[in-house]
Amino acid sequence: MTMNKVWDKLRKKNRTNYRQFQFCISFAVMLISSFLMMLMSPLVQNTLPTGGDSRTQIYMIFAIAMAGCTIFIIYATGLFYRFKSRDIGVFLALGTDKSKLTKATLAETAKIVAAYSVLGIAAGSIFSLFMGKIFQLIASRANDNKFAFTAMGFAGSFLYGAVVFLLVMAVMIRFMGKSNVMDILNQQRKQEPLKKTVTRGYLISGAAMVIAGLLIAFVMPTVVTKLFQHWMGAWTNLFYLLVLLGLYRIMVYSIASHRRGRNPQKYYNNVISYGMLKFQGGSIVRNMLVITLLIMGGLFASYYVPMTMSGLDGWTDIYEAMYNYRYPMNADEVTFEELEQLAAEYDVEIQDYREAEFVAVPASGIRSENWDENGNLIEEYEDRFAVNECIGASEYEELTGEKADVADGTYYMIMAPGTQESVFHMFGTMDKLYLGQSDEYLDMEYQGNVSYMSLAIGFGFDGEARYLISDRDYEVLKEGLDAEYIIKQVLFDTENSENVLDFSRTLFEQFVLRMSDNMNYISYYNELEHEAEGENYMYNQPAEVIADNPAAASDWKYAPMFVYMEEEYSLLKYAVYFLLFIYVAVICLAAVGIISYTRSQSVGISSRQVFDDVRKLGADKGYLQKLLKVQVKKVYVLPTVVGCCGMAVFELLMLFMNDGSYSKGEIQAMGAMAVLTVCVVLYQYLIYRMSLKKVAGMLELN
Amino acid sequence: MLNVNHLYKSYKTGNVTYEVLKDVNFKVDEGEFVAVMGPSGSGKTTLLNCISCFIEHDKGEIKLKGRELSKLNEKQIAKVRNEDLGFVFQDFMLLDGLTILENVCIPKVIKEEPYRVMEEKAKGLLKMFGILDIADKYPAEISGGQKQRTAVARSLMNDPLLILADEPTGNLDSRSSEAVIGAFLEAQRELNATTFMVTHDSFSASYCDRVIVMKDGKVYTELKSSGNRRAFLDELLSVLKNLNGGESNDNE
Repeated sequence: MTMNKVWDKLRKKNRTNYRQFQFCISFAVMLISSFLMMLMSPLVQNTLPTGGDSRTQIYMIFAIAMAGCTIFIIYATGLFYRFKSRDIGVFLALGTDKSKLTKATLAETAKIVAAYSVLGIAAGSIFSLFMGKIFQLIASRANDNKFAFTAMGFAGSFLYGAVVFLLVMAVMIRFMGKSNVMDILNQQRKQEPLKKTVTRGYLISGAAMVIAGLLIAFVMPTVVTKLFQHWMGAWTNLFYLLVLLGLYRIMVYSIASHRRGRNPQKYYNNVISYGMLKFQGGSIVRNMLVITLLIMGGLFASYYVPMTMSGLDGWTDIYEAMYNYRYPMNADEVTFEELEQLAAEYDVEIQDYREAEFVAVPASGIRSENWDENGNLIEEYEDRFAVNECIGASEYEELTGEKADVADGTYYMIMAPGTQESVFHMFGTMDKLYLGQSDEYLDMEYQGNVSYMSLAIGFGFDGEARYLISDRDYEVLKEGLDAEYIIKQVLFDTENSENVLDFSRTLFEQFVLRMSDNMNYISYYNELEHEAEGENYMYNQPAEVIADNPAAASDWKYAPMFVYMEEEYSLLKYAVYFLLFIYVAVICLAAVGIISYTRSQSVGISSRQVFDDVRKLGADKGYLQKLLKVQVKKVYVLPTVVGCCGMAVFELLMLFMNDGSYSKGEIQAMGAMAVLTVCVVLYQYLIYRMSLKKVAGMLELN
Repeated sequence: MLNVNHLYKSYKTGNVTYEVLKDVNFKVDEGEFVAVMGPSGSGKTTLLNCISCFIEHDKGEIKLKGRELSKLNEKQIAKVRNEDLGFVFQDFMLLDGLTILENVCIPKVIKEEPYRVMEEKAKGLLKMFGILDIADKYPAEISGGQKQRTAVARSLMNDPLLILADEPTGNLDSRSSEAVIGAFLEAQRELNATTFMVTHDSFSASYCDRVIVMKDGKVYTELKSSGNRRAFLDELLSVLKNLNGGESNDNE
């Protein structure tokens, strides 16, 4: 009998504990690596706009999931060593050299963590490949990006594996560093009692921290930016930690503070449960906090779909014309005759066709894109800020059928209905329209806005601004302009027959194939900036629009708007976003399930002695089952309530902060979010029932 | 109060059967303080576990106030443990998360009794055993002797027919042991409590009215105290010395 054989035998005897530890390591690493593989794949990287909200949100949820998995691993490691402590303690007590024992334990743990981290990465890769291919299949009509493994994905996964490895080793070294044999021997029985005297003040301070954290980190920056055009900086995000700390205090209070109070009978009826919970220790609260955060992350991700859908629902209703497109006159674009011919081919009738001309001229404006070092918005007036398109009043009336009365030297902005000013964008900042490339200009005065969705471009500000001016000013500006600066605007309708989609696709294809070189730019392209910056100008990029795939997402300055076709493809364009957020929600909720399930088991294991004691004192099975229910419920109820309510409050606040009100679409989205929340609650209930059954089996209470 | 008749209990390991109790017979009267002594392996703890209904016996009967315990179902057994028996264990079995007062209340908590009754009763018992001043402390904050007196108080909460004590002084120093035995005697005197105690400690046993000595799963002899504790202790030590083949008991 050698020492190694003794170890082997002990390992076999404690197979369940080893398996639990191995599972926890590989599961956590699998979740994170599958997340990373997916996140770093070209399918996601090339789809999510750089610096966009979706990307930021995904990274935020990823950070939560990673924190959750890491805390889970630390917890699982602690649990594993609690099981091992007795064996290690006995060896030490019998005179085994501590350094030898440490080395052997270290080597054994290192082998387990390394092997199961690699297994986790492999499983994560396979899972992400499987899901990635499904994404690709669903979104292929709208998205040409493919799922592929990347070096970054693997590097991130292995880096996380390495972090896990180091963390587990650190926990182990700390554990073996205990000098006292009795400490090690007693580790298995050791509880982590929470503070015995947690007062109501502890709860109130916790709630105050949550509120203060939310106010400082979330509400205040938005309000200050809106009111004072002052960006407070990223430091306010640190106050989210205050929210966490507050939540921790609330949870500690829920576990540790039970008083006889005004309902002593209720207190005594539950006094055994209260006592048991208090001695579950800090680890139960940490677990509850992690579960809460992961529920919030999962819900936040799952809310993305209804939130986006609410923006899509009925979004085409506000278009006055079912088809609109524009192009510079130097382009060999589809003529009216060709359009009619195409319509005839598809048995589609062109209705209410109208066209008009805009002139594209340099205009003044205020550039407000950046913040200075003090966090104040930099607003710089520029004489020649952007090339903007202007239309004369008569042409506008013909095009829209709306009366336009515009005095010389004044203008209206043509906006989408309901457009509001923001910190970056103000109405009426233009006061000069230049006569082509010359230094001569017309002084202009802002009179207000006209609303016409089919004529508005993008957000209607900066390079996308369009102005309604008087006929005389229009003629002055048009004088001597090259054809490339005269923009033809076409609007028409058709009935929504079965062929309109094919007709729209062909028209789109023709429109793209026949565009001129000066049309092939992304929407952010600014000709004046390009001239000023020359080679260094970064937005001098082709639009990469695909003629025969109108569903493919693209960013094109001259993108036409064919309403029937857009309605058909809008969901498809968001498919990758939807799938990614659903995937993230599933990962977070899977982690919630596993952590809760594991925690419930350890509640059972650590409470075994108390259950035996209470049984000996005369409690029957029914009473013990009731007691167990309370214990296991605690793992689920509070995190689910706080997670669901917390996320609901955050979303409601976010929707409200956007524009100070709730739109019809947003209210509909709230309904869908409520349904999703109920699904999460039901999921938690299901896991709770499974956990209860398992733990009751462990304690022979079934 | 307690009648044990022709009690048999064996354990099976593989194909080998070990007979632990072989035709054990004795009775304990109401208000009596009885100890069971004997060397390791004599069957003391198994006997206690059979009476407590923690394990089933093979043959024979255990009657508590005329009621045959082996005929009870699981729910009835739980009721007996809660209402008719009181337990005191070597390792105290107090719930760490509850105060001393709350720990004493547990038997009534399990019985779901009104809180006023339980608080009043618990305070009375704590006072009787001189530990009322630690009512709001937690087990981790008090001494071993105080813990065991708390356990004795707890065992009396539902006015049981019989207190079963398993090595109640096994983890205590002599001063604390004396205090705990004092608590049992106080319960006997004030409440006419009946106690059946398994112990290795001759000193503690010498306070009892009667000591049942066991050997090899049978009752070896029974000794009755004449009222003179010192003489009873000497008598006990002498019997134990003979029992151990001339060696005196470990815990004298």
